[in-house]
Amino acid sequence: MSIRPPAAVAAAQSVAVLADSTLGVAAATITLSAIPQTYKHLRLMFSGANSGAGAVAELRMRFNNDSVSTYNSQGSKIYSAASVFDNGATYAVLGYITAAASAPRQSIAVLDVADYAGTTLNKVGLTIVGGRADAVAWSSSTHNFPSSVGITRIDLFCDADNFIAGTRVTLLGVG
Amino acid sequence: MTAVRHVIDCTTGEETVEDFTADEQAAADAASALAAKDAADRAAADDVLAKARQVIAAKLDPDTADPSTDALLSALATVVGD
Repeated sequence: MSIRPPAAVAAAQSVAVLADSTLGVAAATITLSAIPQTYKHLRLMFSGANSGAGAVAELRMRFNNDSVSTYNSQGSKIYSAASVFDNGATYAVLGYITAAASAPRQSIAVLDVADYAGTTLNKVGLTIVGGRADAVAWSSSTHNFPSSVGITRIDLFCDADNFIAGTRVTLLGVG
Repeated sequence: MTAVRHVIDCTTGEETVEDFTADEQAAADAASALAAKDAADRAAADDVLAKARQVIAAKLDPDTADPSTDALLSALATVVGD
């Protein structure tokens, strides 16, 4: 016997691919614009690497192209030892991705934004990043964005250099 | 080389590649220079650590390790000098 949700619940649940793009050439910034405000939640999935000469690069993000507000990012990361980061800057720190020194290894990141279109509460992002095993292998973090405006745009970039060609970003609208 | 922004319109599905503005490019160049300096500093620090390990090993086992205290002091002076 299988247990299924009521038909009304099943019909109300949906996941839509709002964007799915793979870079043909390296780019410093990936911008997801004109995000529809008709879903309940967003999930952004990232797969790729940074072109810099170091082992890792800092993956950063902004909502709504806002480079003035302070995003408070707090998280933990597994490096050679466990550590935490607490960052207040005009961008959010999602975590740490592999760079050219460890290519062609892949890093992946998942960013969730619940109630992204709501206009009552300030927005929060929640991110998990996994990647290179012998440097930063894993991090999780939260990013508090001091604005209650709906999210219509997300920019991804690194502390320096480019995302390499082949980097893929998928944005899902949920519910 | 001018950095670019890959833009994906989530309503129309259209994708475009735009050149950075002059201000964005200047910021990107500055960030790259800073990252390169950080990498160089990290490499120098790693070198000092390696030499320190050599000196400690020499104290523990003088017969097999190179007791090169001068090398350590020289490396430290280089880093401090930066």
